[in-house]
Amino acid sequence: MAYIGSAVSGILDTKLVAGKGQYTADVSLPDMGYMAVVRSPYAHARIINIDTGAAQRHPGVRIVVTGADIQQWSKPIPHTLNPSAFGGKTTDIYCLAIDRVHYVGTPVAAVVADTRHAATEAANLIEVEYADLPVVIDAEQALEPDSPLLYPEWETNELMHVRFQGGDVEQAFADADHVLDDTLRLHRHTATPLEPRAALAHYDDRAERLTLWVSTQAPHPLRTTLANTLQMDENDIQVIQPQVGGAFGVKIPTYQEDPLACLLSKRTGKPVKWIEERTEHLMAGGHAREQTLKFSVACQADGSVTGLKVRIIGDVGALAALAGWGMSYVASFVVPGPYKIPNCEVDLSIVVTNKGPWNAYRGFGKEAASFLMDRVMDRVADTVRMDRAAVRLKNFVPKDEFPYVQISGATLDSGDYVKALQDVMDKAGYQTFAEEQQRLRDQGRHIGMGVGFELTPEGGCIPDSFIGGYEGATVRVSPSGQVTVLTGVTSPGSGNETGIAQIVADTLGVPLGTVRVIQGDTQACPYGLGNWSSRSLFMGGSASLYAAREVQHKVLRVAASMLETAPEDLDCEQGRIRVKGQADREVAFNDIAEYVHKRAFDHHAFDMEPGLESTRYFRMGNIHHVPDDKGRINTYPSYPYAACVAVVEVDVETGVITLLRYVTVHDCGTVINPLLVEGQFQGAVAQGLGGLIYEQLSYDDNGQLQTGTFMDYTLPTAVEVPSVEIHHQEVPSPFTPLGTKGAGESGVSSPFGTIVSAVENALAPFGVRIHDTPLTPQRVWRMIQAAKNGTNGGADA
Amino acid sequence: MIRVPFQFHRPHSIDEVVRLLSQCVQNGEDVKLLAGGQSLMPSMNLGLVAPAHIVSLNHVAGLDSIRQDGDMLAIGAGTTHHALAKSEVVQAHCPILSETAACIGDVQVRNRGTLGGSIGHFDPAADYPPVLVLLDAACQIVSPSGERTVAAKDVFVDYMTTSLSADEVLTEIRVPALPSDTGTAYVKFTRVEGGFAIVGAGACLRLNPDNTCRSIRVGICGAAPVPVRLTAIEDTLTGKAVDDAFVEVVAAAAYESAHDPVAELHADADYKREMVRVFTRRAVKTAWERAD
Amino acid sequence: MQTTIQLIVNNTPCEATVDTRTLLVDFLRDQLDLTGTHLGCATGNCGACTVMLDGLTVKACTILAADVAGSTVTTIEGWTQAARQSGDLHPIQDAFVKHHALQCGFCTPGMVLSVQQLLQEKSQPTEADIRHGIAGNLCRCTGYASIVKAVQEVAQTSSE
Repeated sequence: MAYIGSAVSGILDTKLVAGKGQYTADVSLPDMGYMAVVRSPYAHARIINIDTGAAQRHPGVRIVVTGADIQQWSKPIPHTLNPSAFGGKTTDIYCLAIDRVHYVGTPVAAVVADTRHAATEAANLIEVEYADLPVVIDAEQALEPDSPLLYPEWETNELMHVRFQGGDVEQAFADADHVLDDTLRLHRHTATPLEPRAALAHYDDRAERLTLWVSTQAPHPLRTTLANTLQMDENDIQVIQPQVGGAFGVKIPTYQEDPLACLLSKRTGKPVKWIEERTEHLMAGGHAREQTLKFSVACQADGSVTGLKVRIIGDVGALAALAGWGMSYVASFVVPGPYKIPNCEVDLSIVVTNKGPWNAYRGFGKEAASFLMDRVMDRVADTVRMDRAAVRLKNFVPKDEFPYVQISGATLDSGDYVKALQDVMDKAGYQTFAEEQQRLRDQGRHIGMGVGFELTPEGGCIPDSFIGGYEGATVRVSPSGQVTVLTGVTSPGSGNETGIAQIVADTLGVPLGTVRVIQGDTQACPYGLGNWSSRSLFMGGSASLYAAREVQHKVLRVAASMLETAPEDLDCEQGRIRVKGQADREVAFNDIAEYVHKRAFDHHAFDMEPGLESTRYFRMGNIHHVPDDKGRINTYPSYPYAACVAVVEVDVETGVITLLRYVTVHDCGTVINPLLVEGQFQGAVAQGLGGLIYEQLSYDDNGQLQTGTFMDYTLPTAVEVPSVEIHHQEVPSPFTPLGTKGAGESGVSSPFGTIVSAVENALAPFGVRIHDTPLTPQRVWRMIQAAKNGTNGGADA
Repeated sequence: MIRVPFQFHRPHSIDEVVRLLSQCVQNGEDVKLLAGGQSLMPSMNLGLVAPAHIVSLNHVAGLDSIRQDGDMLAIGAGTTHHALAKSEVVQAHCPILSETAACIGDVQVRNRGTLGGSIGHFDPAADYPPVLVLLDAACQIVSPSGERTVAAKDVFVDYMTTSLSADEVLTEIRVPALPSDTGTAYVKFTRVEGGFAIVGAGACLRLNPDNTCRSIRVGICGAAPVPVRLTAIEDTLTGKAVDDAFVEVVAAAAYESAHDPVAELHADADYKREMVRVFTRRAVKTAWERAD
Repeated sequence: MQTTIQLIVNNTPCEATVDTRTLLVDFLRDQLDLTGTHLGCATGNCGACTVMLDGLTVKACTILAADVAGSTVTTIEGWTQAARQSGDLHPIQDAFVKHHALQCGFCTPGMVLSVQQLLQEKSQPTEADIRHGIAGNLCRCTGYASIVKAVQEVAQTSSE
């Protein structure tokens, strides 16, 4: 095991650091045209007429299209997750709006021209006549009987209603020492990878073949949806994922612009390039998080939580084919997270409004569940006057009860939650913090410490979708001993290619530098579902492990024959295969590779299947889609978690929060590469912190987005984000061959609960209680003022 | 990406600049001067501004000089924030200006953005205007009819509006060389590092040997669409003992002066007024600590 | 409307005709095929388009190609070529690789140039100096910790 577990640098890093990464926007083809998309300036309207005359006549224009053309030429885009498969409503999503727009930014027309300038000029010449429709931007209002309807045929704005229930909730509440209620409101924000979306479509008329270079996370599923939408054979489509400049979920699904660019390439007979502008991304690239979480909790005086009722209202914006609504479903699926609360019910309404559609974002609903459960525990602790950490320790699922099935069917794989929290408290100096806090308070400074705990189910596997719990990989050894790994998973910059190379290099016993990982090309790679839900290493890595083992089995068989020994008596390291304990009896891995390829009929290889190549698929053994006796299914196979402590300082004059420390004990099972895992975790915390304090997609009453650029959608800089202190606790997953669990999303879910807890702790002298996000300075300042003045229910703001 | 075509002019002298400007004005064509472009270019990329002509100042020699002229510093309008922040002359004689320059935007913005560009664009969140107003800076302006000098306070007339007409160009800013015992500070409040100022406050304070106030000047951005100077109380504070109560008097006056803050998404008018109080207090305190 | 410019890009004199609207970043990418400079926001916020203009870092989305006539522009490609010492990379880049101070790599070329500028002005920066020095470059992947570590190592090595 030379590489597994060690901090190997990213195998793509030397290229990327020199600016040699090739992203989709960097790919060019001769005679390509540029696509510009006309978007609705209204949140809700009927399209009366579209006049494309002037645009058609504009110099350099190759084609102008509207929804009417699209409807004639293509089918609706298959939903990444179809709500109707969950008993919900649905609607057809074409590449362009057909007769109605549901949010500011809805694509309504498109132009392709010789240059980007000509395309945007022509787009500006398209005149769209709209008839205003009443706008609803608040989810609770959208549920009122007299609310305007986004999709009148539904007769409601409720996309879906879901209930999970277990135990005897009413009895638990009747027997409780305390019952307490609260309502939490999470605000809308999103992933914002630095690379905007981009696509280059080339329909080759002679070959009758389509190639799409696209900034995506899931090339194979994208190919299938393109085939459906464009009514083409999958065989005639190749999707290529160049380097991706960050994704965080938003590049999982098929966007309207993807088939649109393909269609326009087919119609014009020339390549079509589209590069999204940042303003388009913030309007229409997909949103996340905005939810109301109401809870009622029953607890005993000793801090044990005996019952929990949760009502979640997810404001998912307009419906798109992007799968974002699924995040609200997952939020309800995860409750009550890492806690053993046998009597529990969750009631979920997923609601559409005239705002940008939701799209997947790192966390995928688990962050909402984590925040909810952190708030529940803090409120219980405050009510029974116990330490906030102590209440968590009391209610965790004990380490000897895994696998543990939650009310939703979520089957927690393994862990030691108590130890993780105790360890992080030790590392952070939890027990002695109060002295330091008091000392600074005496100087007029307000620092606070908070605890939080995130459970981040990974590897989601949803019935009847491409969100699946298996992966494939091919390992191929060339005659010169070079190793190619082709995977169905992809990397949007998250580093799994390095982890996979480590696994394969160790399994084959070859130098890491001889392993090349190829991802994201539907023509070359085995069928796979792509990158999301932190699945790439524990699923794709496991498939690669299996394939490498199969190849190594053949290598050792040949080597054993040459060295006149048994395969199990051989060691292979750094490309040298040796008889154990006999340094002078060895053969080079490369020589075996050459032998197998060139001398398949010679005596060391004649009784073996030729070739040094294997394609293997790996499936998670703990997913089940057949309901159990309580009607539950398990859609997540891996449950990494993190216990966290945050230290903040609050400037009570301004409401500014500074995150001073963030300490974590994180369990993602076996760590293949600490450098990669820590990088992911640190980045995830930065996104969580950004979401909590700095980032907000804000709409006015007319449904106009007020934060459409990075000037007002403010992302945290290096000044705002501290270096996270990361410690590992490796409780291996019993369901993966190396004990790996998902790593990648982890870290994004805990900052809300942990930092909010710390801010409340800092502001304890004022008695501030936090229910709503974001924690902008103005809002925090208001909370302090309200608490000082004893308004707003005494201490609450 | 910029959508609307425009004509680009690259003049090499101020005379040529003024001639181009007046030509455009006479033809009734919208013209914009381009200095560092750190505000103009994003606005054009977003399609918020679409002039028919751009006249660049970046090829006019000599616009970026900094020199001491008696008890004044004369700073070319084309001086970048970076150059201003690094200038030893400015650091020595008008440290509040270098401190202000050093906190604008980020490194790249400071490398390109200019003093004159900031004045000409006049965003109400800009950092220089309140400092220039408190320094009683004078702006040298060239127009087709000749040169004129305008006090900074008369340059900033309304929300995003200066008193420069479309055929005029700002060439030089003159600020006093401050006595070395002056304590100065500029502090600002932003959402994130490099962001626009929600509120910014500058203060210059001189003390008498007995620790009373010899002179104080305060300028604020974010309190109103134009920079606010606390003229009304500055003189009344002369001779007063400088202590915490003194600081509070200034902060309270700043709060009172913030009658018309420009509300923003994350900072409404009431909150901004409070922040004007807080940041004025901080500026005056720091200036006091730095005064000899 | 077109205009012709002469300038030096990556140590090579060049003359080009550009649409007056063309941003420096688009000029470099589309006309000179220097795709190491990236475009992330077009409002001067993200810093992915950072290049050196006459020796100082600037955001190439806030500059017109027409306006850099007579200037010297250095992109990540040219800088790497000129600045590398032993091997293919500059010590800043080596430290980025060692500490995995990048993930998707989209912000990285701009980030590296900002670090170069920072260390040019202050060879022994504090952590706060580093964080302020790179505040004009957003990174959405790393959370900056590994970048800060890499810069600290470069500074320390250069002082030895």
